[in-house]
Amino acid sequence: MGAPRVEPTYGLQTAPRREVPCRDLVTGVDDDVSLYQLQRCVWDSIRAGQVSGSTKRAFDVDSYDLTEDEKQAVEQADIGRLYQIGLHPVLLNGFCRASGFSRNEYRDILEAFAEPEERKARWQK
Amino acid sequence: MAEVVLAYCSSHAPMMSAARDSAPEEQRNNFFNALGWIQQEAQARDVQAVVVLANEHFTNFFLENFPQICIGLGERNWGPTEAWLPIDKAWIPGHPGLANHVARETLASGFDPAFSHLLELDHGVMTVYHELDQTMQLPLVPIVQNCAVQPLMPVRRSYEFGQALGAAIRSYEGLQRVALVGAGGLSHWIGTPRVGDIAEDFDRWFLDKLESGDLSDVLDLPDDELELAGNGAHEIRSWLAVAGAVAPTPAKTLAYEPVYPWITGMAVSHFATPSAPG
Repeated sequence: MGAPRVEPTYGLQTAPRREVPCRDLVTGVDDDVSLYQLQRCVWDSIRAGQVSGSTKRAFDVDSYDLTEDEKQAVEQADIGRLYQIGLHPVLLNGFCRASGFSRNEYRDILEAFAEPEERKARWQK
Repeated sequence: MAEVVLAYCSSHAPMMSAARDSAPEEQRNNFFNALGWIQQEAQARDVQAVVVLANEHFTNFFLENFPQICIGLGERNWGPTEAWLPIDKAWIPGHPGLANHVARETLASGFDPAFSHLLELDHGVMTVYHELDQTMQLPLVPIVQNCAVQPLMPVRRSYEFGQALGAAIRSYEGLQRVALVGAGGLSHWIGTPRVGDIAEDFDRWFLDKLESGDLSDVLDLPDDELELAGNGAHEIRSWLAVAGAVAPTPAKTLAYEPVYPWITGMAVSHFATPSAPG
């Protein structure tokens, strides 16, 4: 039996769901989710609310292979959890705006995860 | 042959359009007066088309395929994509002749830009383009750059792409007067615990380097150091491409304002290029 066929996305509205788990060749663990799926889910959710030509895009959170934790974070707009999971900051920013958070509100949430910066850049005296 | 008769760079921030009055009056006046002067220069120099470099915000591309550079070849492009941005949604005329020439010439120069026959333009291009031409009739060649998703094109390579871009524009026979714009930056953080911060020391250092014409320290910046001025600071790639395109002409800073309500170091820099083809 060959490898499972993965349909190309070519402009599809949502990412293709995997019908079988993918085995991590290093750990040997079946990994049926990926950070990519979360990134794609959030991206699609943001774009669903944006103007494109004269149409809006469709969005269905169940069409992505998310863990329960990830799905809950998206559905509940749990900004802190999405940051912890590793959602790309540009997507996080757009998701916050789309979810009705002001910048101050989401900064207040994220400040709990701030880490001190010890490095100095060449422009810093 | 065409000439770059107007070259400038401007920070972009969605709030400069969507929440214009949230900035202190003196700051917004300084910033927009600089862009107003630019607009007058564009009219005085009878600009026929504009090439705008700006960063990609996951508006056209996603992780399946993320080009470092993509040139908009289309007869028209759509923007702005953000429903909440108070700029009329419109089909923006492109300039396929100039865009295809730029694509061919930069390919011949050793770069590998992607191309698109239909780009969706977000605030990155549209805020600055709209300040240049409120009628949105000026033919626009958009060039989107990856400034957000690692791995990124090194900043030096962005400058070198600009050198090839400038040569390409100047070898185009279909127009005479082209404007070149870099839109993005300066320091800002988005989607991180530091959102709202501005690295004024970086902004002033960078603007000083542009004015001095000595960019060696800037072009040596590794991404992890540049990121100390915010993950949005990677957008200086658009500025560096313009600097490369018009080198050795140095920049003059027309305005710099750290506008905290817009979460961005807002600057406008102009490069004194020839006012007409030679």
